[in-house]
Amino acid sequence: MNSKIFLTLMIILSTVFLVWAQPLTVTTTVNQTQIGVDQQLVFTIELTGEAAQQVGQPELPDMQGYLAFLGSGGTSQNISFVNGKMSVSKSFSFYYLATKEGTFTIPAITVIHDDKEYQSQPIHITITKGTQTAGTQAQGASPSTADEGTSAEADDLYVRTIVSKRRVYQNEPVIVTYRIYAAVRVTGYTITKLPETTGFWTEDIETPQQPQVNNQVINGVNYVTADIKKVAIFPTSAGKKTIGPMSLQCEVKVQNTRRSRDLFDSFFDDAFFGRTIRKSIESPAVEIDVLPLPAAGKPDDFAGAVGQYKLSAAIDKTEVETNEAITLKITISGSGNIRLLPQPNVTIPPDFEQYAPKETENISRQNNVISGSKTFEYVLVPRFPGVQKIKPVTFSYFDPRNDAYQTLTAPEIVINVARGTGQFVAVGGSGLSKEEVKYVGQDIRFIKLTPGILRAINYHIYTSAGFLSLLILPLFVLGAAFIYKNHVAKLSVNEAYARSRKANSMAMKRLAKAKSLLAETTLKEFYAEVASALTGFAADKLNKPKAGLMSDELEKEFNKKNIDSGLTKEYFDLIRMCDFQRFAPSTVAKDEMERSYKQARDVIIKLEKAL
Amino acid sequence: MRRMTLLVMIAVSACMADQTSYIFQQGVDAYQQHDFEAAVNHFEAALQYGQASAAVYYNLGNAYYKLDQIGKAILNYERAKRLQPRDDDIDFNIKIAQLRVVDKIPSPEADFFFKFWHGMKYLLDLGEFAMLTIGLYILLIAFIVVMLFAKNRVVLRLIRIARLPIFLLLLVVGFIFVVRVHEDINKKHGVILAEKVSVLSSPSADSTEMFALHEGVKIQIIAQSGDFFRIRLTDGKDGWIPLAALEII
Repeated sequence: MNSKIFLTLMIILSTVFLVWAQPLTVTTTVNQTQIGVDQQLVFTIELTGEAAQQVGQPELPDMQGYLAFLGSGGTSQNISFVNGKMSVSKSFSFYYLATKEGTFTIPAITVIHDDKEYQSQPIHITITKGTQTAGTQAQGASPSTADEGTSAEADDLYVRTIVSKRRVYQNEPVIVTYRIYAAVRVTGYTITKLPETTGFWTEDIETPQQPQVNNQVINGVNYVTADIKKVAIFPTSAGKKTIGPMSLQCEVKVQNTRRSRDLFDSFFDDAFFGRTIRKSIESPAVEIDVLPLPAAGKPDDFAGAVGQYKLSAAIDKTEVETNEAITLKITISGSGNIRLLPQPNVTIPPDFEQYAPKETENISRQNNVISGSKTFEYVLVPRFPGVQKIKPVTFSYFDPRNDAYQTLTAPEIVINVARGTGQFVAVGGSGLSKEEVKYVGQDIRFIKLTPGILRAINYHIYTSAGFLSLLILPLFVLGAAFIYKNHVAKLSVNEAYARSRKANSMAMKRLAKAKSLLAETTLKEFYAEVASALTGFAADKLNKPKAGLMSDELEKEFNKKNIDSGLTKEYFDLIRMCDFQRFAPSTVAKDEMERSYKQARDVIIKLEKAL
Repeated sequence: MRRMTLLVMIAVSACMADQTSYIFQQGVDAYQQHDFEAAVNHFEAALQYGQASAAVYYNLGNAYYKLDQIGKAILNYERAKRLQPRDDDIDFNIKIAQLRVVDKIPSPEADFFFKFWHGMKYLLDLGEFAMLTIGLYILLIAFIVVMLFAKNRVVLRLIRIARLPIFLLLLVVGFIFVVRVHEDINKKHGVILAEKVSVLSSPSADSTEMFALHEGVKIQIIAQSGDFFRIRLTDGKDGWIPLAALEII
């Protein structure tokens, strides 16, 4: 509103004065002359004068590698009348990134118009190694919503989210500073909503209880600035990540009566004339580009640690006895995400009983870095005597400062284990072995409800009758089988043996037949059979042909075999008697026949024994 | 007459088994009613008839455990284990009971060969080894008998292929069986029943004490002299203790 009145006044005045062409002037400006590496610089070229309208975008100066071109910030044109003169100004702004440290002069730029050269002044800038407070990459003010009144204007109070870097590696820390800018008097604030940081691991950085207050003039307005919150965030995965907005509620003193944006108002505010209103403000969301860790050169034992670290490994005793506990302490110190540091690569020999390591962290959150140390304590119990070696402990990490992986190695540890006492001493003095521990707190199992197979208390299977008989019986079976086999073999091979074995049964068969003929009518047949039985038996026994066996020949054989003369006589008498009865026409009583039969049988039985 | 005697004997032993089972059941009832003293009395009485089973010893062990008599509990568990070496419940309860034993005696680390031999030796219990040995023995004799008489060529060929492996197996199983029998007869183990006993360097009461053992430790008995047993622990230590301090398993 004020500016409109001003403009109208200017137009009226301009008609009074002579209008003449103003020569072209070229000015170059930068938003700051002292910046840090990796910070952004805004370079602005302003062309003023009537001719400015006809001039296109001037050629950009050579930045000699100190500044890298990021992009164009756009053009703006402004036509105004000052003291009756129309002034035209046109500005081009460009974003640059400071890439290396040093002092550097942005050379003058030249614009040619109507064959005349117009030059700007060179600008000296200093690029430092990087500053703790970051540049102003991100800024913005959200529309304010005052609970009451409108005296506090939108630009009077806002929060910026300032990040130290916009392109980082996974797990590389980004320092995020929430800085409040106030052109009004702020008497207090509360954070109503913390920024949402999905995809980040967040560590708060210590800030003083009472934020440090600075004055800064922006666009001619004096702002009071204060860093109200600082966090280090570690992106956990690659890709574009957004740091969400943070909400604040501020108590602002405003004056009801005056609607002025006087610079002094906010500072020389009189408490008596002002009143406090609540005002909610929100920081803008910021996007961060997270690069994945390079695959090239990744060590095998790399487990995701990013930062700068040192490694040390130490053992409390190198001379121990078996079953005596020792502690291996491995410390990783440096800056990075200490809390999430992975375990270093430790190989414990199998002769040691090993327990899960105890982890302790010591984190410092000062000076805009998360640093500190993480200690892993391994309790080891050597079980066997001898010289035991713990292989060098290694730890790998990625150093984003030089984009390379580093592997740290602690020296090998040698432990002399002497034989200790035989008693098993477990850690903690519980006296239980690992295997036993799982039974602790358990009750015995329930009894059996049936007695099962009852046996005599002194029963032994190896003295039981069943066992012994099973051991011996097969031997009898085997013996019998051999004897039988031998017999069958003899029968098949030796005819004489066979005849001799069969003699008795043949004779008995004939006698049986004779017995059936035991009648007076069949007397001749009866005696024929008895004679046949007697001679057949002798022939079989002696393996002689039955036909033509002479009595004197038989007698010789009987003598050879040392047969009792009485028996021989009896035998031959019987044969003779049989022959007589067969051919004599006499008759014999049945008893007589029966006696002969018995006699024959007895003789055969006796001969069987003798032969 | 002789037949009569046998019948009487069978009748008597059947009657004894009935008695044992009956008293066993009374013990089970007492145990279920948490009257562990009565349970101990019943199970001990059941053993008085000269009959036993793994279950009787196991239950007796449980009842003693409940009465906090760890030595007797372990003794009876070990007796049960002798009759039934691969019973899960017995092994489990031995482990539980051993937690209460003061002395932890480590077993020396065995080499591969020893472990293998040990594994083979205790793969089966004594009765099973006996039956396996007898079975293989009878099979082999049957082979010989069949070979003497069989005329079927296929049968003969099969036997010819099988006889050597069967014979070798019989040698191995028979050897293990004989070793086990020898062990069963000669290797005696005991459990310390005294609350604490001093292990002495010689079998006399005034000799020096080398170390002490507590109730429930299982030891091997290697000799006896007068009123003392010479014992050996699994870690190789040995010494003399009074007879009364332990009971043979």
